[in-house]
Amino acid sequence: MLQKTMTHEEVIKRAHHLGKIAEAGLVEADASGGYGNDFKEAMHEAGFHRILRPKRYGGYGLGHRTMLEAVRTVAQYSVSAGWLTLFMPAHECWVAMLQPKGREEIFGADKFVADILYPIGQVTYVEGGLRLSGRWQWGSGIEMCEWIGLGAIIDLPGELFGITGGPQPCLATIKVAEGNIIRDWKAFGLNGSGSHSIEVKDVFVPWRRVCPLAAVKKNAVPIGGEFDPEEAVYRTPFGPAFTIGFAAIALGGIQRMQRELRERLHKRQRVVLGMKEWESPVAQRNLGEVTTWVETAEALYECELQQIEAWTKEGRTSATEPELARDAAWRCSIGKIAAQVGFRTMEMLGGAAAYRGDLVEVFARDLFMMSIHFGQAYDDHMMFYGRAQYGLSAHPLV
Amino acid sequence: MNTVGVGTLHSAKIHFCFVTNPEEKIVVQTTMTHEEAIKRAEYIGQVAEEGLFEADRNNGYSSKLKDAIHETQMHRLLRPKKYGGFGMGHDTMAEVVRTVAQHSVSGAWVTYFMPLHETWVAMLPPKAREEIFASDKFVSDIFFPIGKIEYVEGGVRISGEWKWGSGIDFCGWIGLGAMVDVPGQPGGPQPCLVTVKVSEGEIVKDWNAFGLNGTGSNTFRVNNVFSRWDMVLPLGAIKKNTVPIGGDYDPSEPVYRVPFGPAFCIGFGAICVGAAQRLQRELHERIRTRQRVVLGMKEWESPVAQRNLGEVTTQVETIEALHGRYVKQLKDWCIAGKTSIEPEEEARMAAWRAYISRTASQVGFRSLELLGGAAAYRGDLVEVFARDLLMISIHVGMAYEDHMMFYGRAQYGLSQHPLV
Repeated sequence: MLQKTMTHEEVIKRAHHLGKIAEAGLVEADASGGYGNDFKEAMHEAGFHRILRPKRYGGYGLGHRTMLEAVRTVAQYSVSAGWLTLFMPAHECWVAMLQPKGREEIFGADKFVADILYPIGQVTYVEGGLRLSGRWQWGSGIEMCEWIGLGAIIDLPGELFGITGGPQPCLATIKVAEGNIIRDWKAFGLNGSGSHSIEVKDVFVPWRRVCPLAAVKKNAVPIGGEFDPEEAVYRTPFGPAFTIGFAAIALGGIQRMQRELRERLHKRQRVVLGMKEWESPVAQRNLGEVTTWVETAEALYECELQQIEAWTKEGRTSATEPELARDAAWRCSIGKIAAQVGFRTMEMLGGAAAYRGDLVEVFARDLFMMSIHFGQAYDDHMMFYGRAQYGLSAHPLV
Repeated sequence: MNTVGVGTLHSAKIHFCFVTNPEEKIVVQTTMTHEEAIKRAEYIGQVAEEGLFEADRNNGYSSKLKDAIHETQMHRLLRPKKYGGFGMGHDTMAEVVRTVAQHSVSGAWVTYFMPLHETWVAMLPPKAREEIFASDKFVSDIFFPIGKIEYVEGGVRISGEWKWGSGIDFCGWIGLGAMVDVPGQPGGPQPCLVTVKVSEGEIVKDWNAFGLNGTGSNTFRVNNVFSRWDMVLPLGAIKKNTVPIGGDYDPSEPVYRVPFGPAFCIGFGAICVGAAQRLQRELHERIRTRQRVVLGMKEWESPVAQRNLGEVTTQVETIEALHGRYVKQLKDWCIAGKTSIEPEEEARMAAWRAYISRTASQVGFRSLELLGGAAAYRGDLVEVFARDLLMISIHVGMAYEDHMMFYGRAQYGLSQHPLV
């Protein structure tokens, strides 16, 4: 039977437990292109996927800070695991925007939900829905999920969705078992995220399982009504609330890196200098600098989180283009700092930290990978932020 | 007898009401709100911006800025109420400084120092506090403990020459750094501020630097000037716990509820943030109007310019966030009445300041680089701000390399920066 209530403190306690499991499996997950069942079960048992889910569907209906603190905590043990821990509750946010029957069906199963946003699916319209075909890359955690939302440009029937304007980017949700997972995930980093491809051939998707992303991004109002407007998920702009999680992962990752740096410098004997490394003013200077970078990222992250919370409090579900672009620029700045912290830490710790599978080595690769995710791509988002300041449109997706 | 009327600042672009007497002279006001302080800061800023070019060229602001600061009474922001001050928090002072810095970096520097230096005056023995605060003259200081001391009956005689006396031309008093063995203070000689009247020494008008010229940071020379013991502040002791010498103080005053060092230095970050905010606005506006002949387009239409504007804006907002964290930390300490902190905490605050300052300096030169030759004329606001921000970043309280090292040291239990 599902637990109905949860406190912030209990979530964080569980996040540490989950993080420890993630760290124990870090090398294996990195080597084998994904975490295994142990991690999946621990994550499900922790119930984090239900943190933001509306209470009427068996969720805890907690706020974004709690979800993000869980993510940041897990990321201190494993960046890839932090990534997965984010996606399970975050994906439930768009499920909460489906038509009521779609919500009931998916939440009722209480299984994890994956998604791949890129709207590249081929669609044939049929009675009651559509048939979907295509192949999508980067399905993070797909092997752990029962459901997956797949991106496609879809012309929604106005009478069902109350939306006009022609075809728009949507997520068409199918059961993962209806497609074919292609285990091709082997990358520079984030290997533990198990971001495999999926191929789908002519799978039927009922309208109740189609999420009109563009509309939801505009105002976070679920299709077909029947929702409690007091739930955090319905009181916050969809895009920023979804993507701030990237910053939480990056932050957790670099907080751990800073601790590793501090501890390892303290132990390291520098033969060429004839001294303990921590005694060197150069090492002290570099530790001070990395720590300051981390604390700067913390400050910027906190500003972004407070903005999200202020919107939730106000019940403001729609952000302006400059606001969206600013939010994205802040995330990217955090992501870029995090990638720098990763490689700088490895550079300072030298060969001993560079063995394949060393936590610092894995984190450095993972943090860099995060920084090139399209939601984090620095140059893109800086450009969009500049554009938005001149009244032009912000990023079309995130 | 007091009336409310427009004060002597009628020539300003903005007008606000002061409490004045019938001769239209501002009299000592006893209360102040945060909002009113910011309004006055905006006025000071406008005065400072009007005189920016001249101050940069002449190596110091004229008495117009001095009068604006004194008339708006910003020097009394932090002063305890019992001495005619407003007894406000450091967050208000930081906002005042940030506001002025949006108009002039040097103007903000001078504005900042006037309330700031009163915080060490508040730590002097009661007799000196009364005398200095009653005079209501601005106070300058130069920390470097290089003065020569001769011990005499009732105090010391001080001689020496100190550089970098920011705003000294505006001040009635100055605290001069020296190593002094203060009676009643344990541990032998320690860094102190020995207070004298500026008129007792000689100002050497030698300030002409890469930037911050408007601060008028001239050299000061004294020869065998007497200073009573109550005019000598043992900085080392004060830095430890912010308890004034000789007691007789109200512990609810913000100035007595915060660690001295981080509170003293809060304005440096505020200046940098204010100036960087102004540069971002300049960049935004000038890119908007700039025609790029070599590109055959308006600059703002170029994705490259958009990207660079987005990046600079994000850099500015990043230091806003870090400065906000600094201010909040200080406010939390003020609420808790925590006047003594761990070396690592103090080193962290300094590292944050250094980071803010370095980023602001980068924003300065990046703005100049992005705007090209048109912004590089001597005296252009962007050109002056870029030079001024670099100068702040190499001030002893902000020196990036030093403070990063001290933050690293402090994390291993070693001592942090000996001065700030």
